[in-house]
Amino acid sequence: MKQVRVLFEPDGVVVEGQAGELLLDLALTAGLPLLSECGGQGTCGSCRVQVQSGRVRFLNRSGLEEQIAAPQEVLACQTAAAGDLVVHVPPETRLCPPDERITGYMGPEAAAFLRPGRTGFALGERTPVQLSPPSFDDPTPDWERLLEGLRQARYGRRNITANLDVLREIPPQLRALDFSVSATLVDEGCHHRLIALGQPEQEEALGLAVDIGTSNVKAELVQLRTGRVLAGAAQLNAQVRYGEDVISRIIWAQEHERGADELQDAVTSTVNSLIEELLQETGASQDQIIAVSCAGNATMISFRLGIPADAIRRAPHIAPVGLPPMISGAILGLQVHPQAAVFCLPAINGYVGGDITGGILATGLFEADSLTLLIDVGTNGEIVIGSKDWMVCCSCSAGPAFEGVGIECGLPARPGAIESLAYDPDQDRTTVRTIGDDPPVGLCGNGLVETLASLLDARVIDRVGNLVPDFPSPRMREANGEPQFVLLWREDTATAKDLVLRQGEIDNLLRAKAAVFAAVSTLLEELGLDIAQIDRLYLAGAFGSHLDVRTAVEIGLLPDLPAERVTVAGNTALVGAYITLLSSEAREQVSSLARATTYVDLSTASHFMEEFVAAQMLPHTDLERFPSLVSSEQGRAGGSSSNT
Amino acid sequence: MELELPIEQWSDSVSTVVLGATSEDGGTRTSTVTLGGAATLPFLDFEGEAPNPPVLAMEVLDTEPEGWPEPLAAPFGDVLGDPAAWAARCVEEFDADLICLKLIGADPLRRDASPDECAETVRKVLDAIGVPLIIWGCGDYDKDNEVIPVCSQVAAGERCLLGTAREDNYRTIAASALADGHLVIGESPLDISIQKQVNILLTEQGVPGDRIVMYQVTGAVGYGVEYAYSILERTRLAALTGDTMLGMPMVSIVGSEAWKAKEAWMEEPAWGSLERRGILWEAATAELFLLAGTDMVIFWHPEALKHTRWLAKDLSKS
Amino acid sequence: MALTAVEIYKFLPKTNCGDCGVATCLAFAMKLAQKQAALDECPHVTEEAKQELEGSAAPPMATVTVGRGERELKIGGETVLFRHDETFHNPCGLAVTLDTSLPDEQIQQRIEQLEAARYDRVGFMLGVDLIALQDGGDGRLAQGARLAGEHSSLPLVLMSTDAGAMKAALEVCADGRPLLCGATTDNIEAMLPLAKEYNCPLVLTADSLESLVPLSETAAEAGSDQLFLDTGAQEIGRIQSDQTIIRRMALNKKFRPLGFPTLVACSAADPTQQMLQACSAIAKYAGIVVVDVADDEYLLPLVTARMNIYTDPQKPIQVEPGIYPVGEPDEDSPVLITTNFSLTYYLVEGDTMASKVPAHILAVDTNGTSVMTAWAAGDLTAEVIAEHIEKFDIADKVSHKTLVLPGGVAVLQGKLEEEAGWEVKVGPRESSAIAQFFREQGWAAK
Ligand code: SF4
Ligand code: FES
Repeated sequence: MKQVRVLFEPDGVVVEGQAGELLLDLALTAGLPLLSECGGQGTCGSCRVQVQSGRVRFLNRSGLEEQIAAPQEVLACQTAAAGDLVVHVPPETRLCPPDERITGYMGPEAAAFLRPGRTGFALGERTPVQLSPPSFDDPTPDWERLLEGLRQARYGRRNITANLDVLREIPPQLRALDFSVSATLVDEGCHHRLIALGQPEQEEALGLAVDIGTSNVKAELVQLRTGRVLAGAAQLNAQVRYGEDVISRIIWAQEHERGADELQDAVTSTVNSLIEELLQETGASQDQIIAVSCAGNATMISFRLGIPADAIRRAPHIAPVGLPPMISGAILGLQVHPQAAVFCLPAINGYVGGDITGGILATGLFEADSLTLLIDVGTNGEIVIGSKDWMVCCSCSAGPAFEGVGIECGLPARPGAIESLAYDPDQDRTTVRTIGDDPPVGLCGNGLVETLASLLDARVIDRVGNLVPDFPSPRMREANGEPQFVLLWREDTATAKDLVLRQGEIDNLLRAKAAVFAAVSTLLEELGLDIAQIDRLYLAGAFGSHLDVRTAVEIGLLPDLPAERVTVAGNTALVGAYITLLSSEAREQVSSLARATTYVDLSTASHFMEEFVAAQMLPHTDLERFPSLVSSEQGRAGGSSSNT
Repeated sequence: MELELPIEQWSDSVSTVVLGATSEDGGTRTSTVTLGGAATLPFLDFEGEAPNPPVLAMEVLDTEPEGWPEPLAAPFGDVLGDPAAWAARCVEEFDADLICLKLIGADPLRRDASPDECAETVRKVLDAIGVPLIIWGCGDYDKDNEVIPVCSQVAAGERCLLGTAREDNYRTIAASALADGHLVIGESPLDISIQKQVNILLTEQGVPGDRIVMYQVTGAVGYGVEYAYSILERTRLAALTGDTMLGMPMVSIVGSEAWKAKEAWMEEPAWGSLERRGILWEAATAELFLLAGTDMVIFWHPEALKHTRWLAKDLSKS
Repeated sequence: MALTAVEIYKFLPKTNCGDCGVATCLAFAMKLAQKQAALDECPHVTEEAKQELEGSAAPPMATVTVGRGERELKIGGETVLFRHDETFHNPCGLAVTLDTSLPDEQIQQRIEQLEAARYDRVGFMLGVDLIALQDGGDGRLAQGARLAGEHSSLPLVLMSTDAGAMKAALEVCADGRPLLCGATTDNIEAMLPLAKEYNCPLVLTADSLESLVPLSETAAEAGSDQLFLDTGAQEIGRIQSDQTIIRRMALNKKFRPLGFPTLVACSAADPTQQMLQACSAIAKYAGIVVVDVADDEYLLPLVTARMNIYTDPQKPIQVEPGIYPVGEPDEDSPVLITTNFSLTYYLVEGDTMASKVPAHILAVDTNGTSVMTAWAAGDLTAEVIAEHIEKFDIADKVSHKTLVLPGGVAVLQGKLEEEAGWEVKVGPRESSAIAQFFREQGWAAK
């Protein structure tokens, strides 16, 4: 079979496949799932892409091969590659529009769950059923008649159940609609539940994928039938005012009457306000949302469900529930269909939750052939190392600095957030690039990484992050006894205030990056592995895909791996939630991978503290661990390792 | 039968640091002291060279010590209130290789002595002795930043060892050392990474590796040796395996550390002779640190130094 | 080279069945790699895997037992050259000599002195481990052994090169499994059968490393593996070299003839010099150190140094939870709260001492973790502190009702005031600021 290479634009992803493979499948392999509303029948037209150049074969034109000269629109489900190709995927054909600020990377292994015929069941579905009306010859009762219809239409031998209030609606509805209805069912794992019956041409059923982070909550509204993402939104978790990290919140909940309730209310209100935002943007209605998939760490999920989370804090850090049983939306106070199914991605342990199992799923780490490392930098840092053979994870308390919490000028990634910054000491000038090119408001995670690197390079800070007091610029100043550096003067900011980075904030950033690096090193050491053995690194979490990997290595946030082995993966937790929303196979997969992943408690790993201290330098105390930086470093430091 | 000795091939050695400048080198010292240079783990002659024997220093305080137990104070007689006389006695009678002058009086919580007063003490002590001098600040960052530069100036050209530079205050001390031709002690709290960080910072500030001596806050037998011993040993191993940023010689304080231990000074008949206990505690502490890899030990009690001198000789016999 | 977790994993069944007590095969492999589990805890390993994993596991240095019963000593079995790599496992035994040619009552006195040489150190009793009976060549070794057995339960070292005297003594004390010290080139033919007959460990003594090897080989031919090695070194430099060479030969080169613990007998005439000899041997690898000095001031630093050297440098050490006085506190003195992690405690103690303000320090039981770690883990809570205040009767020690809380856990202030019914002041985050804090609060130095 002939090998072909396909380049997908504008993403610039190249995949290798074989002649005869459908563009629809090649796109999946590239991690770019396409809309395919008719399931690849060639009838809906939703999978339209543009072939720019190359040789293709058209299935619907009896296998005609054609050399494409001028760009041509084709149906991806009916077009196979016959040679190397360049294909342009228009935004409206994508399942997941690339809003990288909210969502993240989806590996081919994960995208495969979205392949027509492989998804199993979405968490919620609306299925049209055409029933034959009853007669003396066919006296089947209404419920059984409906069941039979559903089984034939889609559900085969699955158990189907219903609540009494839905059961009560069946006889009148069937008759009112002339036995032609659409049934809304949710997948509760061991069975499906019928939650509504309506007209055949009812509105689309929608699902919500949510990532409940300690600092930020992000959500996407998804068309369940097609998998199409309609809109996305992000907000600060309202729980932040009860404490910046999970530990302080658990303690707060314990020590205040109704504390747990307040925390639950806070996160509920955050999710609800996201829902509102999404509904407003899309014009959809609350009742349309029949399924919710949540990724979050164990503490967030516990708070979300109102389950006491104290056990997480105490060794051996047990999660109250790994995989919570399916719960209905109304009970949780969510503004969705009252009987909507809520699925939570499973936790491995109290400190490694559904956000990480979601990440393992999304990146495809669970099926990787070679050693893969997933680093998720949130308020907690979580690390997974493994491949299809085994997986190990750990967590460390990084603090929310890179999420912009606890840093006065810190921001989540949103318009106006600086994602790139360079300070030029000779001109005493700062150049920035902001998201959306809006006037600068503050710095997001990317911006903070670049700021550290730039200040170090300009010798505004020394290698342990101390601001250099006699640095010759008015930007270096002191306020309330604490040194600070003015990154942007007020006339250049949107807030009309000087944008400053304070010493304490730099210290927090250093600690955060040190914790992450130390966790990676310690876990590798526990396994007896060397960083060079890592074939692929996914950096998920607080950073957007614009993060410059070299800069992240320069400050020692990431281990020194060649940039081509690193993928900045964004919010893989949300991608995990998205996939599990759409695929029962993915839901099963995520449960089994959660069980197969081994948790290592760093507090019993003797070297973690030592690694942590050693990592609190830019980039690291042991420069030997950053061979790619050594040459440039020597040039700058004037031969820092002379010994005579 | 011939045993094939299990010799380790070390790739590097501890750097060599010379303290004190004689008139030839623009100073007024009558002798110098050389630290470091070892190419093997401590006292393993069969394996490699250790060209310089352990250096034994004595500590002199700029302020008359209060509450020193009798066995400690006795050998000094009436000189404890006079740093210059105290230093002279340490050299002439007690065989100290050099003197460590601790400016504890500068501490705002003690006498808050002025930088000029401290500098005056430094000058007097320098005049009283011919051996090299360590000038050790009071430990209060801000105050040390005022005091050390002035003291450094009056001692300019003498190739003194200035202490101590830590992560948060290394700049001033490094600048003084560079300006006045001195050396720097890089201090860290019993942590090999922080020690290395301090050394890197000093190096990036322009202080060359042969002008840095490392000091880890160690404690004494019973009070931290369980950690200190291994930290010193690991530091020496790092030096031998080519980590130049941990390749400097080390100094350990045993006098003040050992005499802090209640075993050294507390009345307790079950612990044996109070006369001897402090001395033994100090000597045992010094021995452990030397075996772990320190290059210079700073004593309080002359007899502890005397026993350690014997030890150093006995250690060179194999 | 020990196998890494990932290498071990390859030999396991990879079913994650959990029968070994941990959730996954990899978790089990990690435990094996850290020697925290034994291979037979997995019921499903194949024979081949067993062979591969256990093949080369014979320990490079023998573990030898001296004495019997409660005070018996296990010595040797060490696996590393540097304690930071793994920790030293079996503390070196401290033996003090007893000259059996002395009259009975003096022997008895000395035995009592050695039994009494016990020192309490934060809850641990430290002391002499063995009595080394020295044969004066006058046929009294057996009498010494008899007296030692009557007045002490300490294990014995029988120091004689005379096989006849040794046999006589063994008739008296062989039940206690004394250490025979020992066999030389001249008497090994007589000593080996004795050690065998009475089932006692034996020291091989030579005047150099080289001459030790044939002795050890002779012993091995006779089937002895309960041995100690003694090179007779006295100069501290030689003690260091000999001990290092033996340890390296045993561990790095797997040289069987030197794969035994060592004995160093210190005999410098000056007691301080002898203490320094012994201390150097404790630091570097001796299995048993024999000294003549028996005065407390010499033994105390030795047993303390030994405890230090044989403490795992990776593990935090703890102080007994409780209330400790610093300086001479009275009923007006402040009460500081900290944890029982020894470094944390000693820092607070040191800085309080330096402030010259007498104070009470309450070391709260946090399983030896620092303030912030304990707080995060839920081990340092208002309730826990309140319990300690009750338990250690703080109210009886001071007339005021004010506590000082570490600044890092200021959040506990309100809750603690409620729980304990005391006023709670928030102290500094770092102990180095304690003196300043005292001054600001008006607690005077004394
Ligand atoms: S018992 Fe054996 S097979 Fe089962 S999990 Fe443990 S190591 Fe794996
Ligand atoms: S036309 Fe419907 S998927 Fe291609």
